[in-house]
Amino acid sequence: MTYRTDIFGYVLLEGSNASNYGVSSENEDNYTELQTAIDAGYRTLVIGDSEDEFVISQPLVLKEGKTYVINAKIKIKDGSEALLTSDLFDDGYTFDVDHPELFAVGDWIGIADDASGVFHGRQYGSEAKITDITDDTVTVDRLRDKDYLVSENAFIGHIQNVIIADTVDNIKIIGSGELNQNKDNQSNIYALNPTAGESKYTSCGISVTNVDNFQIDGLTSVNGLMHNFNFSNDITNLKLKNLTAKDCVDKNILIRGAVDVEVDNILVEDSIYEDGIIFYSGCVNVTARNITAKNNTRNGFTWNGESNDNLVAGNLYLEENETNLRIACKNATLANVVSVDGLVTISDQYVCHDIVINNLTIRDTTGTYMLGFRGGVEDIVINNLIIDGCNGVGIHASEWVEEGELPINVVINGKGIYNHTGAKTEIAEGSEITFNDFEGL
Amino acid sequence: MKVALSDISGIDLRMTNSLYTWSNYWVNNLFGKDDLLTRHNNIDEDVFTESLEGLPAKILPATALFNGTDNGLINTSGTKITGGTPIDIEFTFILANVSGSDGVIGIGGQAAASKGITIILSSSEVITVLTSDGTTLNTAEFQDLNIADVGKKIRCRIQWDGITGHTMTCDIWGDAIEVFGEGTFDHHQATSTQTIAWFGDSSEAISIGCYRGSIPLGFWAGYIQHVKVAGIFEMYPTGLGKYEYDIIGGTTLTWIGTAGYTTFAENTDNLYYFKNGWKLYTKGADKEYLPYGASDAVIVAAGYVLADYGNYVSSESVLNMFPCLIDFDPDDGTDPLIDNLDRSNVTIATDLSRASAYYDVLNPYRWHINEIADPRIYTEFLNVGYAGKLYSKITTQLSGGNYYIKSLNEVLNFATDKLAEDQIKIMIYCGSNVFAI
Repeated sequence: MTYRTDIFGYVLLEGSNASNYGVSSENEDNYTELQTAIDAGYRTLVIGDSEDEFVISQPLVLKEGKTYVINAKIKIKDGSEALLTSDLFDDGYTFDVDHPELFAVGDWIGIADDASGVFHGRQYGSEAKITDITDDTVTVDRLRDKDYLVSENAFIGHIQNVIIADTVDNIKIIGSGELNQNKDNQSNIYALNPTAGESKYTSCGISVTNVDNFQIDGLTSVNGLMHNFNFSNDITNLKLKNLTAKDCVDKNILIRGAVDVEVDNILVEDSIYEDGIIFYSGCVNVTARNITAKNNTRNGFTWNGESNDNLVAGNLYLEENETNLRIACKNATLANVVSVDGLVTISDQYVCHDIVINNLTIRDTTGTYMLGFRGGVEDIVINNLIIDGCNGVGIHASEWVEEGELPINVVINGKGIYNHTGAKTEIAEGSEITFNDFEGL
Repeated sequence: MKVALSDISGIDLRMTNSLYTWSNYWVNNLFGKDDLLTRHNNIDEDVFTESLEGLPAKILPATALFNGTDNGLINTSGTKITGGTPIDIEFTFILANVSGSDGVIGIGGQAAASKGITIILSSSEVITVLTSDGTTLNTAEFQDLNIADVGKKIRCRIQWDGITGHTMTCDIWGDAIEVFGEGTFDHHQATSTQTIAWFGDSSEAISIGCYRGSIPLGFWAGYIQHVKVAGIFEMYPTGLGKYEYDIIGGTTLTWIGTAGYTTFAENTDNLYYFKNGWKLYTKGADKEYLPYGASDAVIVAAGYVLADYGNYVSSESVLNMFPCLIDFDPDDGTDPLIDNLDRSNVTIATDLSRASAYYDVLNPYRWHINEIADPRIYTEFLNVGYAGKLYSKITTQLSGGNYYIKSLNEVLNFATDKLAEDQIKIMIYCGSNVFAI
């Protein structure tokens, strides 16, 4: 007697099927059909089977109070670029381009030029949505405070989310489907939202902002031009389960400004420039368990930000991230953390105190240190620490910035350091690091 | 024991039969029945009886609707009419007006040179039978229908041995029919000896709801619910498809004129489809609804095929999904016990429910059988807080990986909203858990 329930607790039925609205793998573009299905009144919408792949020309915008069963692959279409043929000054929203026919009203684009600078291998730019197109001109709804000049090779290009959920409550997404943001075929612009930076919209697999009671169970997101999963700004009651995110440029999963968060059974891997999963400021009352983060260029699992508070995390497997585990916040209890070939850093980059880690194993790592306490971290307890088979400084304690504060009241209870090459400790004078029943020093 | 205790908690199921499961238990035991407000669970003719509070619903089957302007039924299947033999024609209709020259049935006979017989409601307000032997047109006039009869269901039977000068009778039945100069009757017989010998003509197409010269004319307005030409054909028009089907032979009539051939109305004649079963044929998105024993020769030739799940068997006690509306408040009593079935109540029912083609603002308790039987629909027609209050017990057939609803057996209306485990228990009883994902 197996069954699943929707966001309200009702048994989930086959429901309205997107195919009833003409959605089909055979369509070149399914945006209109899928958005029509989403806009329809049914509380449940079933989108495709596992063999289906739907290409969409614009992001799907979710409606509140609905359950979406996504078993298909949904891919944003290949993007286009066009050169500006008139200068665009910071107080304007309309400009000339050489190929307006490559764009449509409702498309999300970035705008950049040679003077914008480069970040994460792409031109820095501003994100906007097209509101009007004529034979020569494009008009957008917003821009960052900057001029874009023809002389600087100003251009626009598609950088579209697959799904947007903004200011919509009570949504559940389930299914084995895949969101494909198609980063390799989008414009090469790292575009930020003019008013919300990287945390709103901005070329993700799914961008979720300002929601209450939002759940995702089972989805995969790949090829995020920015992030794969983006949950930011005034989010409450967020539940994420059985997610896979990989091959993004920035953060595979960004959670920011979210209260009462449950995260379970997550795989994040292969971020080209940044992180696996990051709780990045304003995250309160978070439970995270069964997290695997692999091969992300910067951090694997990050609990970061002065306003983060009260994390409970368990069963983390972190491998081949530059920093497998980064903690820079307060009130966190972690258990059963395995870190392979990557650093563990506990720092006061923002604030850091009252941290407990039970059963931390660090192994097969070569680096400047294996476990680093940086800056004025305070009241840190690690029970059962194993450092095994590593090369570099085993345990490091120092200031985070020159002449900054030093770690105090850091206690390590039990286990030890084994099969080690290099210094086992490097403790800056004045640091308060206590070892109890710790072998191998 | 094949019980997954993790599936259901808090219930002590003690048994020794190793094949018994929780799912089996709920198949035969309705969870939460003490919380029921109403329970429609039996069929009595066109009444869906309610066993708890005596609040029966009315069944309104799909019924052919003739527009009086340009549509009707024409036979192209080659049924032949033999003249010079006794005729025995029955037809049932609802009178829409008493001023037309509206054709009930035509098989030639509308002109002197056209052999056959035609029955019309003439502009002189009488039921008129026209016959012709190919040379002479004869007119026999009978019951004078009165304005007081408009809206009434009337059944007529025309009988004649086909011999010149012999009496032709017209029996008419109805609820308090008015006979001009004679009074009020539930049955009345009129006679006529204005007859000459007649001949049939296979070149004359059978028509219903109009009659034919070189082109169809004399279009009927309203309902013709049943037509029977003894020994030739008999049908219960529904207007659901492009054709109507003979239940005793191979005659297949084709709708002509402006579409919109069907409506839902009180029509005990069309209970025939429930009592005798029906078959669903499809051709792309087109559907044809055949009486169970009807010939499919014409539509098979036209490319229709019987759906894999297309046999809907007869039943006197459950509804076999023949298209109909179910009016849960036929006497407009608006009893609060059936509030959950009131689609006009914006607190209870969704806008989606009111957007349905079957929603009737004047009759908001009416549901199409496909809506009330299908949990994928009726749960979406109820707002959060109510979507777990309504259930239908159904039977289904698995075909091509999909479950199709084959009968509606009960409609269950609960006082409290059922969620999750409680809901799935009820759905198991209802047979609708096959739609859970």
